[in-house]
Amino acid sequence: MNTVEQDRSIIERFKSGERAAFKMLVEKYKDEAFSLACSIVKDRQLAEDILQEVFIKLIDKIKTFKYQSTFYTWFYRIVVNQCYNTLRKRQRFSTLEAVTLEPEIIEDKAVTNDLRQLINNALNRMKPDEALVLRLFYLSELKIEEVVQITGFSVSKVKVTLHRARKNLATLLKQIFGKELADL
Amino acid sequence: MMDKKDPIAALLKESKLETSATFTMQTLDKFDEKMYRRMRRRLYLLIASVGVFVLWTVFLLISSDFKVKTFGLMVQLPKVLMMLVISLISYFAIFHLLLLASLGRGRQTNIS
Repeated sequence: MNTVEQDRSIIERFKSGERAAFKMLVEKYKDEAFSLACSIVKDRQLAEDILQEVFIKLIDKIKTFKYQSTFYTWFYRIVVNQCYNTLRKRQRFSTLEAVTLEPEIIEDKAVTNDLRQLINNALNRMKPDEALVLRLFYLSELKIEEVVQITGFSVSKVKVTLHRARKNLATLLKQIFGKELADL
Repeated sequence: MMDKKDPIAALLKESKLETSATFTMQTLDKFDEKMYRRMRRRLYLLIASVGVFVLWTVFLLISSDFKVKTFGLMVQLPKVLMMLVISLISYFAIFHLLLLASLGRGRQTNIS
């Protein structure tokens, strides 16, 4: 049984109010959704709160899901919308947009020598759109069309953002790893 | 489509973050809370609608002429019964509409 069929059976059980099905959905999607939320809000606690809110809203909204798209694109779209809405409400969006790359902070963090933390620090210093598109494309391994569905950007905007994000991330990582990643 | 077998892609596979250990438990607690509230709301709705139906029926019975002694009862009874049937149908129609509304049927939407 593939992911889509698995999801369908879980969703049908969840629609009838089954707690175990809800738990399965939470377990299956929480980490990737959390990574996406962190790409946008750059705050672990806030990302968790948003994700929890989305899961609870899902209890009511799951009945409107008619399999016109895959569940994960629908769900990730909800998470992304909720993150941007929260940012707008908090009026922090403009501040985050203005975040610039700061090599000296990255170098300090490099002392930890933890690969995952280094990459996440680099992603945290990128613009929300760029970090989000990178994670959707490379971490979640989604197609461009799916990234378009989730973000609501045009195909060309997704491609341009992806290209720019790769360049920015490569620059940041080269500063951290030096010559080891010269071929990036 | 871009080639995903490159160093950037490999590194980004390491960028998956994990929620806190209590996240699932907390979310399930909220799920239970929400389901409990939903059941309670449905129960109140049911009790209220039955109450309205009972009141309406009593009103119909009172407004009907029950003071008939002998022959009058034979004439009045079908009228009362008809009113009861009408009120029962109205009750089910209203309850059905309320249920439909609470199910939130409609097109697939995004939460925003």
